[in-house]
Amino acid sequence: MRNFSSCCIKQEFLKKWIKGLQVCNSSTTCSKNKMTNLDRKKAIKLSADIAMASTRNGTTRWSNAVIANATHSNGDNNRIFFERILGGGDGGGRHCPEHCGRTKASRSVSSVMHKKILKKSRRVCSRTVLGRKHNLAKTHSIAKKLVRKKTQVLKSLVPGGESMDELSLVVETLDYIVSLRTQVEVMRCLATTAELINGT
Amino acid sequence: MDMGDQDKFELENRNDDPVNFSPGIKPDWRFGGSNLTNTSMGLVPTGNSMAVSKGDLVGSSSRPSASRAESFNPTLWDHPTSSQDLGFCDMNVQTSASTSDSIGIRKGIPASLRSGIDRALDMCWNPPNSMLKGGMFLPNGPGVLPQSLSQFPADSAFIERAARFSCFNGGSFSDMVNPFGFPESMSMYSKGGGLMPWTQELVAGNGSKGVPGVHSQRNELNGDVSLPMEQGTTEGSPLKNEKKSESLAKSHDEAKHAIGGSGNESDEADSSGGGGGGQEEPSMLDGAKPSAKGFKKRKRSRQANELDQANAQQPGESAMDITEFQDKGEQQPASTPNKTTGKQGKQGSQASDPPKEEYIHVRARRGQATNSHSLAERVRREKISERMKFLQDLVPGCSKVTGKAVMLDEIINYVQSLQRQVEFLSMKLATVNPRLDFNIEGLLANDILQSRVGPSSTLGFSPDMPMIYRQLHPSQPGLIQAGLPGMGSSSDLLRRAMGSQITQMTGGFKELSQLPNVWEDELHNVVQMSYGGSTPPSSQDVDGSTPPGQMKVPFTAKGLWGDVFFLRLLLQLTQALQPSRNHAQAKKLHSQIIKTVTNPETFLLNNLPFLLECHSFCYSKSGRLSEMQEIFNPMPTRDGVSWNSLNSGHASCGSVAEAVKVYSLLLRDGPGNLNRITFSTMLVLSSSQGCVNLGRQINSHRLFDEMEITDEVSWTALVSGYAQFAKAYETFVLFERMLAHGLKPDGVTFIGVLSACGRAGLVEKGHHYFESMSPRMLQAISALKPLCSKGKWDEVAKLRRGMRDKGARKEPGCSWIKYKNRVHIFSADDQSSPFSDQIYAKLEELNCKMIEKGYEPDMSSVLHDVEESEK
Repeated sequence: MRNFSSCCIKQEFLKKWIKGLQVCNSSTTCSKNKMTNLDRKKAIKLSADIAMASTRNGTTRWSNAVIANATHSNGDNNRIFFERILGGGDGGGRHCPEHCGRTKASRSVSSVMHKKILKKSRRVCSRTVLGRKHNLAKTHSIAKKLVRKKTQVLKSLVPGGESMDELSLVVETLDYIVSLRTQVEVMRCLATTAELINGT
Repeated sequence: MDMGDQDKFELENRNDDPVNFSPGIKPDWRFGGSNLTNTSMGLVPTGNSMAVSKGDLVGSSSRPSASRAESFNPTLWDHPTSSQDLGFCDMNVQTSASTSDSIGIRKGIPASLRSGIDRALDMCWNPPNSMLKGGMFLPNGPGVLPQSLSQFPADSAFIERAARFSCFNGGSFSDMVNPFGFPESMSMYSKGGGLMPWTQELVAGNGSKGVPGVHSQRNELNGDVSLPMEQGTTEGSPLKNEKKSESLAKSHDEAKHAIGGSGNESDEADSSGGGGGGQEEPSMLDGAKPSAKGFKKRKRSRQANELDQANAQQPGESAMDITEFQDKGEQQPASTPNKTTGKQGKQGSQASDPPKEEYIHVRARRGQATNSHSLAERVRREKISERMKFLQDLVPGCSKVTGKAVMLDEIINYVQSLQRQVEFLSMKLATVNPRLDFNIEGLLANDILQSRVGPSSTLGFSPDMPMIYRQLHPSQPGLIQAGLPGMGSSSDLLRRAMGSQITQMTGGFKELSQLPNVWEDELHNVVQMSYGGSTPPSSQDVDGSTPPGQMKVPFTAKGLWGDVFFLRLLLQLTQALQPSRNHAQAKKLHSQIIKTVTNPETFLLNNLPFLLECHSFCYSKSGRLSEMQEIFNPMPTRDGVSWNSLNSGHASCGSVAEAVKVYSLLLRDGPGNLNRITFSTMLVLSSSQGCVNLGRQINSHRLFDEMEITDEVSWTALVSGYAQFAKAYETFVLFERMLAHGLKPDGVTFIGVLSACGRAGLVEKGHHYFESMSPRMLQAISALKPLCSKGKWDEVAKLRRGMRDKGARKEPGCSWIKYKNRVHIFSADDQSSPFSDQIYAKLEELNCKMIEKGYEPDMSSVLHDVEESEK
């Protein structure tokens, strides 16, 4: 079962990625300016990310966020590129603008939320300082604070995680980890292959 | 009164002490004695938690009330005992009476309360009772009850409450005593009768959160106690007598309470029932109710809760009660996962309850605002913890970690490391590959192939599914039900994650079982791919118009070697390369394979047979068995399977000497690895070889005897082995033995037998066997042999024609020539052997020698064959 499904994902991802790389390549050859290693690396990573996101077919929030972020941050320059990748795989490209807007909006919301959380945690802090007699409560609050902090970190790691609640964060993290794993495996294989070819 | 109640409870508890009243709980209960609610909470659930004990408990508890009731109405008392239905009907009669009285009060009670009660009870009745419900609906005159009430006439709880309220409100104590007393005693009695009445239902449904139900029960008990006093019946127990006055006062108080905080109370009962019901019910009712119902109920109770909030007239005590409930609700998720059965769960939650009480009161006055969210929150938390478990399984090194913070830490680390890996790899790719150019055509072609292979791989997929569900379902039926629709795509993922563990366990076997199918498919595909013009990209590659290196590039990498799937793809590619004679590319691939295989880390034992088969296929095709041997030799772990693969690899390409060598090595290295397959392989080998001496034959016979299980293949092998050496007698004996064993000889066996006949010149016997062959054994071609040798060419020609009509295809004749101690195999038009010229020369020489020595018939047969083939 694992072999079958993960292989399917791998295949899908590889296909999309290769397509993306081709697009990348053709665009660079068209523009005729030599790419630096860093540029190339960026392009590769971008294409890999987008390919990975598009393999999820827009069913997960993190993939939507990845696509949205990529489209947003890179401006019009890369838009065609994305659309071509996504166009090959699915119709994910047309979702982009909404996702952009959503993430933007959610960001402001989340910043407000963040402030609230901060305030709250401060309050909790002061309270625990005041109420020293409740040792148990204190440790409890510390643990809670820790968890909250960790969750925040995780949110920052998972694309689009800022706008997620705890449940969807966990779910998305699950999906994201699996996808990342696949990505790493395929990329590693490609890298070793490329090395092999270059070496011989 | 407090004391009286407590004592009474104590009595009850003592009754069921042996059953489930654990000593650990007792102190808690005593501690809680200061607060009545707590006491009752601690006590009653313990009593009720076990269905078995219910009868006893109820019996004991109902005794006092029963005695009281007796004094009131002996007649009515009798009715319920005889039949439950009757009892309920009677109660309903009572209800209608009381409700009519209590209409005024009902105005004061929020509508939500009523619906809440309705729900609580609705939920708690189990299917068998629903019948009764139906029965009860009828006696409740539609005109008598207000609209809101008509929805839940079955609620004895509500009825009683209503009765109580009405009686207290109305202030006419004596009037209300009778209606009130009745339902109480009835319900008590019906308890004893084995039917689970409302209180118990409630408590059972609530599980750990028995507070509200118990609370109300206590109230009723109070009322009950007070009532007999009023009546002046002296039947009451000494305890009650002592507390007469107290109970009266108390009941008054409680009435007030009830009016003020009744909404909360009953709502609590309801909502807690809703919360607990979802989980407890399946076990309680033997799964008669679908768990989806539980979910619905949860929702409903949530609504009720909200309504309750809206009403929000809560004095101090009721607020506390609510928070109590909340806390319990929060605690529930923690305790539920551990529950295996309803009973255990209940006990566990009970155990966790009493210590909670202390904490409850600390938190009691904080935020009622979270009330409406509490249930949703709990469901959410359950879901989260569920997913967290999956995450724990997914993230390496996280499974042993306890504590959410540490777990999150691990997850964060893992995600970060993965992201970093991606970064690193993309950097590496950027530096390594200057052109970002990867051939997609080859990949797409492979994708096509893969989709064909797909169905066979799904064989492995399907059996896992029910397994996973089975794994998930018993643990938390309600949760999963609720969770699945919301999970969406993630459920797939989870399934995948779960399945990966299962596959890891059964992986090896599945791989083996899948192999034949896939293999067939692949062979088919390869033929299509390399020879069919329908797949332009691949044929293009094969032709060499594209650099072949790029085509197979993505699959040669080490990282994918763990994946059988990619191996298959690789195999396809290799096979596709074969016709184009691109040996340099093939060699590169193979060197990669060797590297990978010799690296024990990347080498997965599961894939070993496949890998070797792959090698044997590749190498035997290209005739380079020595390289296969090279792969095999440094292999760190050799097991039976690998040995067999190697052996059959040799056998399949006809390298007998090598196979024999391998076999002897196997005998030397690990006799434990000898198994059926090895034997049959060796038998086939040794029997089919011309160079194997008789000693080997005998050896194989000995082996054959050693084998515990003999199958057609081994028999056939042995038969043909004897036939090869013209040991006609042994062959026949063997054949007869084989038949005696009940094994069905196939075409190959017959070939062996017939060829033995031919060699020994037993034409008649050969003909006899030939006749006994079934017509579908089209390999009857070999039947020609004995006939040929006797020069009956007419018959042969006839047979041949018949065969051709049947569409039989004569396989190219193969001969093994022992030349200078080496075996060369050549078929009719085989030019592959480097020594073919020499072999033909040698053959000529041999023929000459034979002619010299007078072996005419053989020569003629050869000539005849040539003639036939030229026709």
